[in-house]
Amino acid sequence: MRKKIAILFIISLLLPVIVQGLDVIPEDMQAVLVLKIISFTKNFEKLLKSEVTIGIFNNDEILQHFYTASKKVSFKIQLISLPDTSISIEKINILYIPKGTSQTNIEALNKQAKKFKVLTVCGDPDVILDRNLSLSFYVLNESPKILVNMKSSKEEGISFSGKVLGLADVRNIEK
Amino acid sequence: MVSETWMSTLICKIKKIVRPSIFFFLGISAAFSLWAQESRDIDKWMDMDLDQLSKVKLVSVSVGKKNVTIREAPGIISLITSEEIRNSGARDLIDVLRLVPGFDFNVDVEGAIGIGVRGNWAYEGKAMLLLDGQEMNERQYAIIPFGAHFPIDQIDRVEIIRGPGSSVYGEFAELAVINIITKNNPGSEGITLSSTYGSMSDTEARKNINVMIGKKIKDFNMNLGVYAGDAKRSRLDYTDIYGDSYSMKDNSKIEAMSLNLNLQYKNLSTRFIMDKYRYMMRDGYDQVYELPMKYTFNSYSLETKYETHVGKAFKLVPRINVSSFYPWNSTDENSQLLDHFYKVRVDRLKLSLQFSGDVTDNIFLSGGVMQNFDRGSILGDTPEDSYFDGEKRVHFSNRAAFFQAFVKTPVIIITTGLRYDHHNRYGDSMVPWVGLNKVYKKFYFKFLFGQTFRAPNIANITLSDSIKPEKSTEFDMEIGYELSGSMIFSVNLFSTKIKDPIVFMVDPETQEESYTNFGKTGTWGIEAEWLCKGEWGYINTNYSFYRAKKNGLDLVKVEGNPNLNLGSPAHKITLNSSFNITKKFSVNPSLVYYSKRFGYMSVDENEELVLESFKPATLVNLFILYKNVIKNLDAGFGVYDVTRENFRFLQPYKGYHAPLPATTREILLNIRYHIQ
Repeated sequence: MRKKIAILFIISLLLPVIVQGLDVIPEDMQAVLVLKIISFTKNFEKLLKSEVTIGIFNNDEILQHFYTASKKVSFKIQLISLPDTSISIEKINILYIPKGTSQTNIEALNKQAKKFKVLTVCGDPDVILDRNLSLSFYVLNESPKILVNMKSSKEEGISFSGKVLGLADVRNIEK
Repeated sequence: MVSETWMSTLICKIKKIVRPSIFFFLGISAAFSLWAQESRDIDKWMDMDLDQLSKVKLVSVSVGKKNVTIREAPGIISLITSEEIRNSGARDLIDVLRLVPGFDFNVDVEGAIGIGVRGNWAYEGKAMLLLDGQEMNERQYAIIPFGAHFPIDQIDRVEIIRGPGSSVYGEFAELAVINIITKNNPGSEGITLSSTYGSMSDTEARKNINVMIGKKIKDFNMNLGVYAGDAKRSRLDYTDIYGDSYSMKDNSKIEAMSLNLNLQYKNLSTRFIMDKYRYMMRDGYDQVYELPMKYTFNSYSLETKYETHVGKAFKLVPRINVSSFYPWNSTDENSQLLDHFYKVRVDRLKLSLQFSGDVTDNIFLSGGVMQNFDRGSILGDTPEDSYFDGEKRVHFSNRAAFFQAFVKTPVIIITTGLRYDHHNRYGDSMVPWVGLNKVYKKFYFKFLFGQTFRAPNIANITLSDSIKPEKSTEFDMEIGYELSGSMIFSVNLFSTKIKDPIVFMVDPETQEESYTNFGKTGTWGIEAEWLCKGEWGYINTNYSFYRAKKNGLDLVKVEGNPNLNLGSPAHKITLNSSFNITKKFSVNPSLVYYSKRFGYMSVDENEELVLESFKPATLVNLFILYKNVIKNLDAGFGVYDVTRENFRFLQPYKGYHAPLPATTREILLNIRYHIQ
């Protein structure tokens, strides 16, 4: 049995590794990443000269993180708190949906986002593929990893730069 | 006599200077926080580009209240996530904690299973278990009874400090801190139902049901977790040291029920935890009991806290905890027939104020002051049922202050901490410690040195008037290397020296219990871990080794082999792995290997204990998980102890208790349904 354990141990050491993990990263880091990604997204080039509007669904703490981060960017940002799904997101450019938002609310928000071509960002990386949202983040080797759902971003008319896609875990690539 | 008086005077003077100094220091620190500016993490990250951001090492554990990476954390830390727990098919906390380097389980007496840490028996007051921040060690003997106890389906993650935690947690955090964070916290929404059924070859092994509900309405969060289940310790026969036996199949039932409710409105939150645990046993102290009897360990804990910010960088948390524990209560009919009726209640009121925050980009401070009021009540009405001096009630109080600083210099990270306790009965305890960390490219290095203590519990104090806290000196050194982006290897060297350990003794003739500070004990050893994660799944494997210190207690040492302690294997290897066959389907083998162990299972014709060697044991487990079998429904199927090792828990001291059988091969089915 000892030999078997030793062999198992050695075999496991030799296994190849490619990382994937879906632990949620801190929300303040997410806010920073969203603002950084904006700068590399073609759709926002014009807006960066005027004003980018970010809607945060029903979470004042994340709104506060965006506010703190927005003080360090060179472009204007308007932050809007969305307490419920009845509010139109027509004038919003980016919609942040926090982790824990109910399926019904995600669906209602996503419907509007696709209609008004709003970039959807979700705090929960586990749901963006199932719920067809565009952008999220997760922890990989203790570091943040960008997760892009190409199918959804295409429906939202968003075109991420090669820089972002090069760093991201890109899913649902349509040929 | 003269020198003793001189010494006492000097100690008194030092105490008079030190005690107010600590509170003054804490006061200054709190005041300093008023000057602190807002958190600089965001500012720091905003100055980075995307490439740099993608390489930032994120948080995994908390130091005081600061989140840092495991590499930077000033402790030897293990982290087990809900994903790992779920994939492994772990049946209870024993299965989870067995995977931690140096952790092991043994039997005490009367069916109670406790934890061992790095070759040291940590069962009674040497390891602290926190459930969502609330202390779960019962207060009478400070133990945590293991075995089908805590609802593991509710666990989000377990942070384990393998080593001292006294400087922050005090009391029972001498050798380890097991910090369980459940999903019953804001951020978890929806309804989750789960259930497990397990079967051994000729009897049911366990069945349980678990419900979690989370709801957020604007600023109000409600999270509720409810669990009910039962299990059997084993299906085998238990044979005592005199050769008498009984079947555990019908005499080892464990019943557990818990409720964990958290209500939060903005920064104000209240948590109520009800934990009801009852098990049946006949194994007794040495000789089997004629009848099975039940022990209950019920507890009710309520915590209310308010988080407020001073500036934006510092957080202040005033907190009130009220709890009632009913440990070791045996009130059923058989207990009375066996003359083992016992009914006790221990209440605690704890008031605390903690602060934490960044002073600058590189200095983080945390600390706090707290006051406990404990009341022990013997509820039985027989004359023997009393604390010392025939009292039915005892009152104790303890006040404490702790302070911790985390300083990131260009060369090294320094963490230093100090805790001071004053107990109305046994006096003062002060434990300092220091940690040095260095991250250099793919390497990291940790050096930790400090003192830790174990507070006497109510039983210690009331059974032995002169009992004092036992003190340990702890030394840890760890080196880690990131072999690739997804593979980390670490190895650490530890040394634990316990001075004046509180030793429990039972007179086998009279069954009379007593405690004393006696001799010294401890271990040193090596632990190595290798972690690897990929699209294919993950492999976590570790090896731990210990040697008993020279001149240790005979009570715990193996006769003729002074390098080993009773019940604890010198070598342990664990493997916890998961292989994704498809996106939905995974195969998860796990394994725990124990080298040879030593214990007592019989007596000779002179009624002297006969030492036995127990052959190496390998517990092999396999769990298959199928996610989204139908929408939102996951199903898992597994086998524990595939090779049927028929593992036994050994008594880790010379206490006349024979090895207690554990579950044998068990087939397991788990289903989970989640509605957002």
